[in-house]
Amino acid sequence: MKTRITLRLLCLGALGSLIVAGSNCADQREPECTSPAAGHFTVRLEPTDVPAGCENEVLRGIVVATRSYYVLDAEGNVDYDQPFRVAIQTLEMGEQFIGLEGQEEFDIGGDESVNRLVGGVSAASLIETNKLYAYGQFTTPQPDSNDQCYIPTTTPAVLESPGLLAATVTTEDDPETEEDEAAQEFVPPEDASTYRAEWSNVTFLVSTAYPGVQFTGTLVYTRPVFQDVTEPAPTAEDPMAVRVIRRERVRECAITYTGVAVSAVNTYDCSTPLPSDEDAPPYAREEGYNQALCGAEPDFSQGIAVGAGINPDFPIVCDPETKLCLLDGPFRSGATNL
Amino acid sequence: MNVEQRRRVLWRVPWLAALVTGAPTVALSLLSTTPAWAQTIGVATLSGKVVDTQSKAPIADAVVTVTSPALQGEQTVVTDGSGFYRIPNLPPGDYTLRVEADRYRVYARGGIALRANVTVRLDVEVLPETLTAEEVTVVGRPPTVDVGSTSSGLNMNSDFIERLPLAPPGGKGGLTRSFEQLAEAVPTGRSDAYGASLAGTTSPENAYIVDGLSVSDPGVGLVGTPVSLEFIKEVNVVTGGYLPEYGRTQGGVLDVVTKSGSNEFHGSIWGNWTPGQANPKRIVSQDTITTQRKLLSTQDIGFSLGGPLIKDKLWFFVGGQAASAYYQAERELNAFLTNPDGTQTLDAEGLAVSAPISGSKRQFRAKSTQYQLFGKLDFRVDQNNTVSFSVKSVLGQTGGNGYFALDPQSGLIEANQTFNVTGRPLTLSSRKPSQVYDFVLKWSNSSMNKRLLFDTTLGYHTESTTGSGGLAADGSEIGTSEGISGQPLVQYRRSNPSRRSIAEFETIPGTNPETGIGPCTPDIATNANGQPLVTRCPIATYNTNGPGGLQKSISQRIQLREVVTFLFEGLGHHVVKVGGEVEYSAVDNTSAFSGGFNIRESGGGGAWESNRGYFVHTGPDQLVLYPKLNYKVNQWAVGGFAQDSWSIMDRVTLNAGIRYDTQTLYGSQGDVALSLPNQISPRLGLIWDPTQSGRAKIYANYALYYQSIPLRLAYRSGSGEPGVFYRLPKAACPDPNASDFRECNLDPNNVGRSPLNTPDDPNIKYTILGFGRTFVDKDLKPGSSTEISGGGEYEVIPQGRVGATYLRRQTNNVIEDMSRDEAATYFIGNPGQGIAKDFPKAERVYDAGIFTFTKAFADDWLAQVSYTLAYLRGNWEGFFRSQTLQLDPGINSDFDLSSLVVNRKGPLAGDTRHEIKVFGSKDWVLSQGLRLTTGASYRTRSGGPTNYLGSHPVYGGGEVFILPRGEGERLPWVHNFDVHMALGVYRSRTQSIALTADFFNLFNFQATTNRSQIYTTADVNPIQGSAANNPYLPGREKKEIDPARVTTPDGSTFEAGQRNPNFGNATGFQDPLTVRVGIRTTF
Repeated sequence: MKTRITLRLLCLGALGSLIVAGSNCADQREPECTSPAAGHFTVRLEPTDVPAGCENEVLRGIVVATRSYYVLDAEGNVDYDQPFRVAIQTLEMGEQFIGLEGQEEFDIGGDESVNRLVGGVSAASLIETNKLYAYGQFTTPQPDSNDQCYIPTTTPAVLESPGLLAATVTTEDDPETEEDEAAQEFVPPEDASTYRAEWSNVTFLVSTAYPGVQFTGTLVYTRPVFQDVTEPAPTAEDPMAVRVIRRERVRECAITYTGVAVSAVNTYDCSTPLPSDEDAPPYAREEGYNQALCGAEPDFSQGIAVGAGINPDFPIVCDPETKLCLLDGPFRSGATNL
Repeated sequence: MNVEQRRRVLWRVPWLAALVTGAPTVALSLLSTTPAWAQTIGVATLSGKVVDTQSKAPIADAVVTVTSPALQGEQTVVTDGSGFYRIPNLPPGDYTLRVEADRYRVYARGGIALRANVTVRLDVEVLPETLTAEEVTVVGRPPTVDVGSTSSGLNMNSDFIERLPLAPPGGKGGLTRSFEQLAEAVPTGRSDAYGASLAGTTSPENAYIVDGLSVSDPGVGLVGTPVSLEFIKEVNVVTGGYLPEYGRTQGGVLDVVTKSGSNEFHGSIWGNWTPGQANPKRIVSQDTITTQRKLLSTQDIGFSLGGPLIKDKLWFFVGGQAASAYYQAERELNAFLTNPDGTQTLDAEGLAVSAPISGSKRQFRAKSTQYQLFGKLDFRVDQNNTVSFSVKSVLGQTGGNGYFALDPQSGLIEANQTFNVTGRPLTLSSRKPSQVYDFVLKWSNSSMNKRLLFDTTLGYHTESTTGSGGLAADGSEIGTSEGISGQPLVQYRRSNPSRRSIAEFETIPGTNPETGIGPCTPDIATNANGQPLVTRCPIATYNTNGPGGLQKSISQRIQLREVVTFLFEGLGHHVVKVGGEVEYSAVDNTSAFSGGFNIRESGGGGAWESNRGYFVHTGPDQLVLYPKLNYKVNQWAVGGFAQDSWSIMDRVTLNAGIRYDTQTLYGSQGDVALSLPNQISPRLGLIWDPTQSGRAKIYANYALYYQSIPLRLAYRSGSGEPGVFYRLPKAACPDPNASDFRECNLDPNNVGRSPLNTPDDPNIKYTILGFGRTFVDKDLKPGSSTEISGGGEYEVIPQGRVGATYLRRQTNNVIEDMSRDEAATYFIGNPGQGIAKDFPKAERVYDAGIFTFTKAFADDWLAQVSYTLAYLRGNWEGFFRSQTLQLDPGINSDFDLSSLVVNRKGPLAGDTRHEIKVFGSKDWVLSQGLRLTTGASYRTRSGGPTNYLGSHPVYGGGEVFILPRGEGERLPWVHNFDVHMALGVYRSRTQSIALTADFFNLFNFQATTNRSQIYTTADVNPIQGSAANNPYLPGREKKEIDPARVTTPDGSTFEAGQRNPNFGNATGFQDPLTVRVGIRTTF
């Protein structure tokens, strides 16, 4: 009998041990080095190296987006042990590319269009070899003890425009109006140019509260500087009038910046251009900019139905110069809830 | 007054007994201060003190024996030095007690009713042999007040279950008459969309225990083993104040004890048939397609047999039941009427008028079958050791072969609250096979004269289910290219500039084949711009091709529980209990979209879009399509408890205990998905019997309950659900009536720029909708609730007691997923705390005053009457959302975005303030051997709250509370009057044949049970601030929002015409009059 009781008590003791062992499994899973799957970042830029002649080309803030990607193993399956790859793309380069796409079927009027891209290349072919995004990989799957993840180098983003051909746009007369709208407009050619964005020493803040929603890094951003070449085109009204006959690339400015980025999923732009109709929501009734647009919470009284998508812990300012919702302070500002 | 009558009085007023001295009687008193927590779950305990009737001195070494038809053999103990005896682990039933002591007369009495999880104290005074006494028959019955426990709820044994109209054929569990249906009889209990809601909580939060094994579905927490009432001996529904041995739930506990064999062979054969129901009230809807649901029939047949294999040693019980149910879904098309000028005909309220299209009715059927097998062996090794082993199996099949499925989780056709045949039947139907097996091994051991007890339970539960999605109805395998599993769901849903007509998809009766003109043809086809004026048969959506989301799950649970009970004396009697349990459960879940992804028409009709499909991003514009996601997740839950039930001076009982639990969920990659450690639950209860005779109690209780999280969270948030949005050109696929979209060019690599793409997105073709796993707040606290309760009970007639209870249960911490940046990143945390401190605190508060009268079955009648006044409010309903039926425990959408939480606080869906339940039964002996049993119930409850809901710009339809929760008009009172009758011919007490009839909703009340709460399908803002002050149109009989108060996210004016024409219309009614007849023979 005693043996049986002892045996049962031992069993209970074993169960107790399991309970104690279970209590040690107290830690939540470590976050992964990642960046948000949606939305944008605003990046406050501090120039650190400005080549001569590029002083007027310095940017104070830009908008980028980042996306993370799984890495496949040799058999084509997702390798969950590998840190994510990350792509960073500037809004400007994306817009430039969309602009080039628009030149592929440039409307010259009269149901006709031409491809203005020099050589008749397609925009899609331009980014087959030169990608619009800088591409790197986190060095580790999980953040370090400072809740930081690192991407030391990236393959730079490149957009090489082959240049644009000149075109003439024809506007036909509208017989229903008295005016004679028939006209031909000259669209000047544009030189070949290159945009290039290379990020390095990128550091993401990654914790459960801040899952990759701030980062800092060095950006070497190369952008073309164009100058309009004109020739006299006097008219009866304006004898001194000129017309642009070519958009000349005079130089490319490769300016080095330190960027401090904050995730702004829904709203990065806090500008309030003059509304075109009376139905405009209250926040847009005055021309200029409005800090309310950078708020983390929705403000229904202002007609703002969803927040800007910026972590509410972060100090954000609607920057009067760039009219972007920028982080108001250095990297990790407001990250008090680690 | 003769002696007999006087003794009856003595029984009813026991303290008078003390005044009656000199009477040569066997006096028996039943004291109340009974140590609780002395029993294993599902069994009862009998305890008491044996004293000399003259000297009142305790008698040591008296032999106390109990026997019962419910007990295999007999149980014997010996009183200790203080005359105290205690017989634990007694199956519920009627018992006879016998006390033998040297130099004392033998004492025996019967009629001791023991219910599961109840401790009854029976003190005995025995006569010395030297005394001369007349023969005495003790009349009356022992008190039924459970003076050792503070728990509230209802204990239902076969007397109750067999005599009342319970478990109606319709709804969840109705197919097999599952035990969870009994919750409707319990004060504070009601049926919710997925089962039994108790004390304001939701059904997946409950603990479902059958023979000591947790049988909840490891995936979502619903009942996994819907055991038929035919195999159940007793159901104890505990709604509050429960013991530390119950854990991992902040809902209620449904504790089921199954039947066992005895020393006599007994069996039963039964059959039940529901030949349909009265015509249900038609749902008024401003839709072209309407579908009316009606129960056609249910039937079940079964048997049970129990008896000895070796008398007094080994017993068996086996049973089986086959059941099936048929529903009809009658679909009809309606055409909107137009005026001679081609404009829409409107009624007085400005709503479009429609008329049924003659000959358009089509009948569809839903079918469900289920087979249950049950077997149990009980082995009495010796006086101190018993072993039992039971096996349960539930095999179900529903849908397929031309039938729609009755969703096992919700009991609804295709899991849809407002099921409507809005497309090809094969697309809308599913096949849902299910298999459940339970194995339970129990060993009870006692020693030291039953002062030291060991109880070990080892159980295994496994189930194969298909979730709400189900499998393809044509039998094709999930995640393959076979049959319709290989075809994408195609959804036509053009809304701009006009909706599509049903005539584009189906031949409309009455249409001239040559001219094509029919009931859906507009009277004036186009305006000057060539656009159609009025679509006479518009449809919101039309679904064709594959069925879309599919799911298959195999779950299992292994559970080991060990409890040691030790009795000792020290300033009273102590019953100390220490227990531990370990549970491992795992879910192997496969999810897929037929054809790999869903395809839907864009709102403007000019393109195809896909937003459902498991696409893994491996680089910008690089996708890998997973035809199915197979995740294997698991969890460990370990816990233990210690408790002492201290009976102080036989007057007051103090129950003090503590429970410790920890739960860790692991994701598919093997790492921790969620860790919920250090769940320390103190419980404290105090009970005082002012009568000191077991006829009354006054008690108060404090408890902290922790809630376990089912594994669905681990395979959704903890493993990741990759997804993208992309758009295909319309030319990629033909327009309506394409029978097989696999012929289309749906290669996701051939798509153009995603319309959701922004220029800075490195992905041009696709927009990421889901990526990676959800982070978890490091300071996450497990979900918990605090409960305080208090009240009293008093026995007013033999076996009949009145009670009053106050119960308050309030959530402390709630687990939900949230996004602090409007849907870019999500994490799991506690709303209002930790890193989610800027979210409103999630809360649910339940206050209830419960007044009851309970009369156990005796003298041929029983009664159970209750009135509950309850308030349930907060901003968190529980483990599912009643508005959308979203069942994602811990990751529902309530707190996902800060823009979603506005106006969410208020009366919750279960806030039915007044509830009256009256159950009564009476047996009538018509003649020798002929007995009529009549039972009836009247249940009535006030209507629940409704809401004004709109569409959210990110989360879509029904996610914006335009006005604070509960501001809508309350639903009306719902009355139910049910009757049960059984006419039985008895050859002996155990041999009979009986005809039964149940009438559910006898008066065919058809009250509205749900209304459309979608005020508009347009994106709108919640009304806040001063605009929320009386935001209604003046002069209306019913409250109606002033459209001028509604604003939209894009600043555009909200037009009155954007109000949902069906808003406020009934979407559900009470089940109509339903009759079930049956026959049963027992032997």
